[in-house]
Amino acid sequence: MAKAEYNKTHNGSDNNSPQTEELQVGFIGNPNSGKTTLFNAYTGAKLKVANWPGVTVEKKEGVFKSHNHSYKLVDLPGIYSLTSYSIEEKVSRQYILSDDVDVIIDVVDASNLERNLYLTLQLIEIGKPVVLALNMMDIVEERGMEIDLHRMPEMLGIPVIPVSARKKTGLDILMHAVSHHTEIEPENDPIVVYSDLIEDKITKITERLREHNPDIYNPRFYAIKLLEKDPEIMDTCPVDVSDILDKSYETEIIKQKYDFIEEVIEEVLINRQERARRTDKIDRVLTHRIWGMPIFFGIMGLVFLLTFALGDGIKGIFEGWLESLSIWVDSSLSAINAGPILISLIVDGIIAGVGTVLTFLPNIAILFLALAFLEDSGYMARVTYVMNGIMNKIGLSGRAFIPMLLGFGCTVPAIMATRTLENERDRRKTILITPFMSCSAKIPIYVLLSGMFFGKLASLAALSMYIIGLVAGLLTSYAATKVENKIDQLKAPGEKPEVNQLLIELPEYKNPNLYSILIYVWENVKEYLAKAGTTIFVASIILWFILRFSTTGYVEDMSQGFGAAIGRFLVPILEPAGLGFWQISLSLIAGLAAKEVVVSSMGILFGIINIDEAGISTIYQSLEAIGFGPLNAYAMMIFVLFYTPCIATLGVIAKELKSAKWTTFVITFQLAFAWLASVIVYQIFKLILY
Amino acid sequence: MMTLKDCRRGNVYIVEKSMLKQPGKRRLESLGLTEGTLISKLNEAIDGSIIFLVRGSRLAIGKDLADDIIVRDMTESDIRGKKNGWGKRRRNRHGKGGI
Repeated sequence: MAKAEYNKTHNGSDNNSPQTEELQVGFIGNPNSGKTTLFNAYTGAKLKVANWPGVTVEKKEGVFKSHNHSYKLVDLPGIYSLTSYSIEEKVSRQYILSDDVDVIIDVVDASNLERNLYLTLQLIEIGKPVVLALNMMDIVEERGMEIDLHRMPEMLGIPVIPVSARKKTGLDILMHAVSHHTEIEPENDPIVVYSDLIEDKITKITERLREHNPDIYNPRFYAIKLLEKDPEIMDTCPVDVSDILDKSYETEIIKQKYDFIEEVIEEVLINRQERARRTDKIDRVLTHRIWGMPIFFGIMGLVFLLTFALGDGIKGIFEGWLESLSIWVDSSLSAINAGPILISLIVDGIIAGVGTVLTFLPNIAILFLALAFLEDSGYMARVTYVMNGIMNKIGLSGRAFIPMLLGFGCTVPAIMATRTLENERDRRKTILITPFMSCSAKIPIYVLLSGMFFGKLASLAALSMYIIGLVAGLLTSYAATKVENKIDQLKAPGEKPEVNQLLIELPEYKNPNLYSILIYVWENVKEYLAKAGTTIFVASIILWFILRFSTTGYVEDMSQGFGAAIGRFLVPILEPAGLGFWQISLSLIAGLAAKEVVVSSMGILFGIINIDEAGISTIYQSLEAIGFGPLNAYAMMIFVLFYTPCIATLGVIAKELKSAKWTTFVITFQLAFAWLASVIVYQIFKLILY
Repeated sequence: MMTLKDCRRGNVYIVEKSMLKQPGKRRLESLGLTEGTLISKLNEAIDGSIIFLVRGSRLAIGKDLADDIIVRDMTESDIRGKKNGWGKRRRNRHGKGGI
């Protein structure tokens, strides 16, 4: 009886979404299961990246065609379970429960079957067609294990297809299985059978749900979720089941699912070998209780040293190219009798503005290469453990260190990464301090200023920005936590402040995949190039225009132009910080568009096209002439380190904070902090030195 | 009463009881830290954070969470009951009344 109704409803829902040409396939799996690698193997670089409605969780879509079938592939966030306690899990569950999806591909790391199957069992309970993609079979074989591919689908009741996302094997068979598994035959027995106590309650709840709505689709899933007291399902439950729900059975349900998984493992996994000896060995060094942290700081020091020292070597080649380009453009333009204003716009405006920024490409590529290496090897997760002690002291969990680390590359993805922090306060604090981690766009400014004024100590001066930024970030969070606790004490005296505990999976170390690292570096370099071609290009033209024009038209002397007037406006405010020059304040304003524009504007202001030795000495002489010395340069670096990030970052911050009040606070705080810090540095050193 | 913190590195213990509070309790249970499962501490940091192995997953947790995981030594009967030291056999769970 019950089965017949289930059948009817199920077929009914299929009729509503008739089998069209296109199948919509959702990719789901644990973090580190190789889900995204598999997804990329199908879609290649042709992706549509958007957000899930209403939240900033990334939604990737791609199209795949094979054997007259067209598949719309949707990549879901990497999750461990399907509750409604995190944004990622909520988004995934709502998508799977929706009518949009036809088939779910559950990507499972075969070398860690036990934990991965937990999500699989939850997916099966939802009652949609699931195909299991058994990934990383090569690692299983390497360790001498075997998986019974005949018994496994029998026990789980779903197709199991071995694949290798890295070696791109099994891809066609997997999609073939998907196209033949769009409908499920409802079986008599559910896959996981719980204890009598729970099963009795499930039966009672499903009966009551059916009384209310005979057409209900998969009442067993809702019954189980109600027994887990899932808030989202409880809120939408149409019938009163409070007499059956005497307590939450979540713990029991989780445990009994794992009991069933143990049974499956027992039957399908042969020569079980849990531990990766290599990971143990590496961890003994990298997560050492004393050496772990010095090693981490050593690695980061090396990363920045490479970025500056090695990057500068390669930069020389780029400078040569730029030099020849600008000479060639200048002479060809003169040859075709172009007007002096046009030549000035192209050579002094565009080439000087965009070109100076482009020569820093090697530095930036090296930095992103290093970050990709840390991430792909599995080390990044360890950093949260190594830094947890310090992070706890400033009121954050070690987990908040990942966004901070990513912030050294680009602040935009770093701010987005704060989503993994569950606690609203932790997120806010992390968003506040992440911009203090100097992003790659600030590298050109540091290199330029320290190269000009600090001679042999240039690398050290640049490196000091990273240390000062990190320390200031930690202190800011510490102070913010103190304030929060004070407010809590006033509101509810005597309550202990809530400390957010670290909880993270440490994936096994693996040799970084060259292909995925190169894709990551290329994506970031492309972003940098695109920025040079758009934001910096436009900013350079605008800068050239406001510098070269005044109410009387084109001016030879830039100090007569609009730009100088705008810059002079801020001079009194920046004076105490040693930055009271219209040229400097103008370039700082311009830097709000993108931090690289500070350097572009210097190029345009001082009429140089290339930040090479000759260019640097030109700027140096011009700056010295207006009384801008090493101390002013250092104060300017400090100001740049702390002041309001670029427009792109502000946009993300506003989106993530979802509050105009907090966004305004962040902007004001950063401006005030930058001004205060540079004033203090400038005034103290002036007292000591002069 | 012995907690995960008191474990000797590398030895295998049994999770006897979890005193964890939500949401940490739910998250750790979903990752396989259920009562009766085997657990092994791999590393401990100065601040008391711990790396441990449970059901093939390597997890890092903060001190307060580690303090709430009560473990006990493996006994003779545990070893007999668990083939290969990990995982135990429980048959006949298909269909009601199997337990």
